[in-house]
Amino acid sequence: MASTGSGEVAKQMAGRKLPWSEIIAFVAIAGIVLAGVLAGVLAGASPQGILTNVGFYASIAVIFAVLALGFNLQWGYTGLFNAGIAGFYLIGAYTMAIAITAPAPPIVIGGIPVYPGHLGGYSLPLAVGAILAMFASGAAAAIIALPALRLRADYLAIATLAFASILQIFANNLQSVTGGAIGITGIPKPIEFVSADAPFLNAITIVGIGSAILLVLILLLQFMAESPWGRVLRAVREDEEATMALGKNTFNYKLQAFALGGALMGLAGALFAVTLGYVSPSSSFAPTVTFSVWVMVIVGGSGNNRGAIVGAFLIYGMEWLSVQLKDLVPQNPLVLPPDLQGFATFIVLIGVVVTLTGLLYIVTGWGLLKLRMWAWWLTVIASIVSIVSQLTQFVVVPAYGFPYLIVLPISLLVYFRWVRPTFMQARAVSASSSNESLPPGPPSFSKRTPSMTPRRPVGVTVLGVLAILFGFLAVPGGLVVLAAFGFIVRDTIFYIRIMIIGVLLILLILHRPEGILREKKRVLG
Amino acid sequence: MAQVSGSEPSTPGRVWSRWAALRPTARFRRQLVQASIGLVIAVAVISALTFVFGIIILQYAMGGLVVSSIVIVAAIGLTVLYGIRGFANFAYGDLMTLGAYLALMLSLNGLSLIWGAIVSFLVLAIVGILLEVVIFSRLEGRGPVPPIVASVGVGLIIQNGIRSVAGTAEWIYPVPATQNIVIVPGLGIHPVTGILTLLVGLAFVISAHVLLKYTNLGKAMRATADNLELAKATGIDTKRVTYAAWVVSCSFASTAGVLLGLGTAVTPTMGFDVILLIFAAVIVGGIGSPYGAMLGGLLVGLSQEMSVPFLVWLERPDVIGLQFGSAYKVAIPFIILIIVLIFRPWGIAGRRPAFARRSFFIERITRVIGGERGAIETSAGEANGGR
Amino acid sequence: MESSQKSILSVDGVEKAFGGIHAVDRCTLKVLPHSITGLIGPNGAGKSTLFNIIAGLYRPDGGEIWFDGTRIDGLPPYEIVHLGLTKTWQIPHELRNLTVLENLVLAAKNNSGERLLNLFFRPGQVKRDERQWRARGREVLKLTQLDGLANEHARTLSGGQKKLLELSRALMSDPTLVLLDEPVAGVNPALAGSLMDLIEKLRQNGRTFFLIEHDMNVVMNRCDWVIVMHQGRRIAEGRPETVKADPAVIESYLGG
Repeated sequence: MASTGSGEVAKQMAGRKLPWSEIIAFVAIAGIVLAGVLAGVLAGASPQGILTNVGFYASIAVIFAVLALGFNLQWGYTGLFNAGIAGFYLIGAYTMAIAITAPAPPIVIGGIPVYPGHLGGYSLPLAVGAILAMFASGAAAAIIALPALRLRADYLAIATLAFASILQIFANNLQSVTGGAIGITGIPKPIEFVSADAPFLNAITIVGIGSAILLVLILLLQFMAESPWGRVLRAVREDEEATMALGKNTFNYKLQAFALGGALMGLAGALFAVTLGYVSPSSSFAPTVTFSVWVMVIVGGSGNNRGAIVGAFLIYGMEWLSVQLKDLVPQNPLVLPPDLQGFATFIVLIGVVVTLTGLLYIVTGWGLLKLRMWAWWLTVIASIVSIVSQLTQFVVVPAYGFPYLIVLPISLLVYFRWVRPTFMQARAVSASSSNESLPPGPPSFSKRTPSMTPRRPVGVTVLGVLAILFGFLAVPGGLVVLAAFGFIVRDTIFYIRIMIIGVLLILLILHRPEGILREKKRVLG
Repeated sequence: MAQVSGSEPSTPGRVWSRWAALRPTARFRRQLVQASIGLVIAVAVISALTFVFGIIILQYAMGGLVVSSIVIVAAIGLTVLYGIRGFANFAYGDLMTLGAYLALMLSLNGLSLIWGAIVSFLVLAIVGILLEVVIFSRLEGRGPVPPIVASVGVGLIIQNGIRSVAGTAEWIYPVPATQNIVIVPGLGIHPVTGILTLLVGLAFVISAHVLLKYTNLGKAMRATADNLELAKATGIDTKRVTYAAWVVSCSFASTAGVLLGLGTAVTPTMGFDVILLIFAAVIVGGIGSPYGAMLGGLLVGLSQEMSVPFLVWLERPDVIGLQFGSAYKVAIPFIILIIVLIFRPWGIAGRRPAFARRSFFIERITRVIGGERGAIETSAGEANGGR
Repeated sequence: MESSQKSILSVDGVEKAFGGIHAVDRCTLKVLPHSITGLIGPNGAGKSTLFNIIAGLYRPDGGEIWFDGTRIDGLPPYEIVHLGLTKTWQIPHELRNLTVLENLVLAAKNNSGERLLNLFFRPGQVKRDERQWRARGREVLKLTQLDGLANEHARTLSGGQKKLLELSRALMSDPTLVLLDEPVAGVNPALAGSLMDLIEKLRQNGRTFFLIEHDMNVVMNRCDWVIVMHQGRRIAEGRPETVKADPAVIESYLGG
């Protein structure tokens, strides 16, 4: 399969000594944590509370990392696209809950059943519970695999999605087993602290256990991936028919990889049950979880275990940050003069444009000129969106659209008069000189010629990073301001975060299916 | 490929002529017979159930028909795109939601719902073309997974965009409230959510049928869905066909969304909640076949609604004592879906792939039961996704 | 046509239809052991399809296939390979993202490291097997003159080199019968000559080769026996010279 131009650049980058992408990723994660801490401080939380919060971030991020590793085994190594991750997660969490909690009889108050009770009450030790959870999820994965693995990738996705939905229905309705909509509560923690510091210490314990598990998993998975067994998996992903013709029972291998991946997802579920202290058929097991894990693995590079973990911390970091920001918004909206209303929105949308441009830069590998063109496009779209939203009945904000009535025509004018012709010209020039050396001009022409090694000037890389950082400040900051003044509901911050995940999915699959963080050793298409 | 005039194709197996683009009549006739037999059986079963359990069964059947109409309209849209573009559009539910919200927005601003639905129909057609141009045309030839991932991304954007603009509250269409019309005591039908939905569903089915069977574009679409390479070779403009597929798909989605909103409420997740149901209808009916989508939709809708009395019976303590039995009705179509995927993945009206023998169905069962070595393992043609 | 020798491969009335088109139409043929047998016929005669059926990649709609005394129709490909029958692909199916040596080692039989439990419970055995198979892989690569490319990714190979890779993989598991689908198409004549010499040598060591080829030089000069297929069935067979002059054969090539 021919690689795209950006794939070529990515390959070049992989061979460089400094893994730029990983440095950026770590900086981003640190930035997220700092921003969250800052938000906590601004919201007036205690140092204790802030640290517990960060501990919570780390523990959930670890859980997602385990989920990502499981999915990586199924998809990155073996090519099995699982759209029902949430289902195996759920099985693991509920199995753990059932195994280790104390007995909980139904509660009836005044003749009304308040709590239906749940199966379990075995009060087994945590380690046993975790093993049972892994076993249950692995077995479920194996059972699903028997009919489903023969199917085409899209059928497999639909079948696994259906499976996960059926599980949610059962969890909600099989009341005496699962505790119904309330779920199972009172799940014991690994160590029961009683001091005032208890939440913080609990978080630290979970993080400690989780990190140890992650470390063991990485070593284990690396070992298995590089073994002859792992080689067969890679061959199956590459070309299953050829691998069969070589004498391998490919179904067995797919089954093993799928079951092991499922077991890992069950382990993540068990950790989740213990971290949260309760399980319920809520949004924690919704398909959005599955989609988030997809993004994490795609960002990290399918087949790249370390990348999957970093991806998990990054993407969950966004979710955690959005919660912190939401808490920053005061309960009662304040009043702001009309001009500043529009201005605040303007800042947010420009921040969005700049962030998207920075993202596009990092993900697509386009040159500066093409990026500028897209930045203008996005500004135009942003202007149109704000004008349209003013016309609907849902958003009632007066002087909102004013800046855009000016920005829109100016953007269009600038775009058509200057940006577009320049870009077209540049394209024509480089198309006609495709086998010659780079014509004089800006050093960032995006058209690649076979003879030269495209290298992005350092200045442009820095610009891209700055753009993203600005976006990280402007967009959440602007959103918080808007929510504080009642222009958007607090929850919009959530929704925008999910929309960003959607955009990431699209951009990544279009331009960088091999991921942003790539191992130097392996190239996986 | 030109044929020397007056000569017959030298090999009986050769199908190199223009007619290759249309389905062979014999098969269609056979399917028609099968469908009629199925219909007769269905009517017989329902009559028997009514006789045994009473008129309430008919009420459920009516409800099932209403659900089926919505599902059928949606499924036709989905299957057309699936057949021509070759990928499962996971954003379809959210496109339905978008259609419903657009109609809602317009009707809240004074337009009648009918006009709202029409405008929504047109706007979604444009959205479909935009999606193809901006995203999906670049994903051609990269296998079945990238478009799925991209469509999930699109769905997330649409759903959460709607949430941030319109909030998570439930909205109801501003339609005057009406009472059920009683046909027979115990059997009522609501004029709007019942009769209108059925009529609109029927209208859409008929127009889809007319489009596909009697117009040149329809014939081109069927040819492309059957065999892309052959269609290209016969000179069909597959680009135009692709755009047409997106237009049909998204417009049908918008109407299905409006119907769904009429029947239930307009919420940001309304479409996504039913997307598996629609996928079930499409797969059971056979991907790419609108007639299959109709049959699949009927099957799925009826089975979901008519399973309620059975599930309620299961609630009785002397049977299983299942709690909240009727809540499981949504799981019934999924179970049918999984069964179909095991035994007959190409659905009712789909094309049987090359590697399967005529007795695929029976053979699978006997192999599983007999425990033959290799019974549940991949057979070679299914490897690489059954290329 | 009759031969008193016991055949190593016996195809008996095999049929395979794809949606109304009979690719293989009640085909019956035999291959004798220690021979280099050629299979020729015009395009669309069903030769590659027949090979796929023999190798277990397609299930025949009818008929029987016997290999070395065992009935193999309906068996999955991996079992057929274990019995000693391997096949190469007409269009090379190299595993692009693996190295040439990895491609070969994958063709090994009973590499203990490929079983998950062995990885943990018998690591010593795993290491030993892996080393052994790598060594054997290098030997085979030497035979097909690809040893310099052992650590290159398979996607960097030229077309002819990919064909050699196909052949090397087919030889790795020490097969009794090798089905070769156009083994020298696209390979330069000198290399093609040494390849056929290699095949001749291997035949003298006890293997049988059944090959599809369109290159008439190869067929005429290297095959002991030639079978001709047309429209899914065998229409002629015999020594190369006999077949070349057979009017039915000439007719099929011209009329098809």
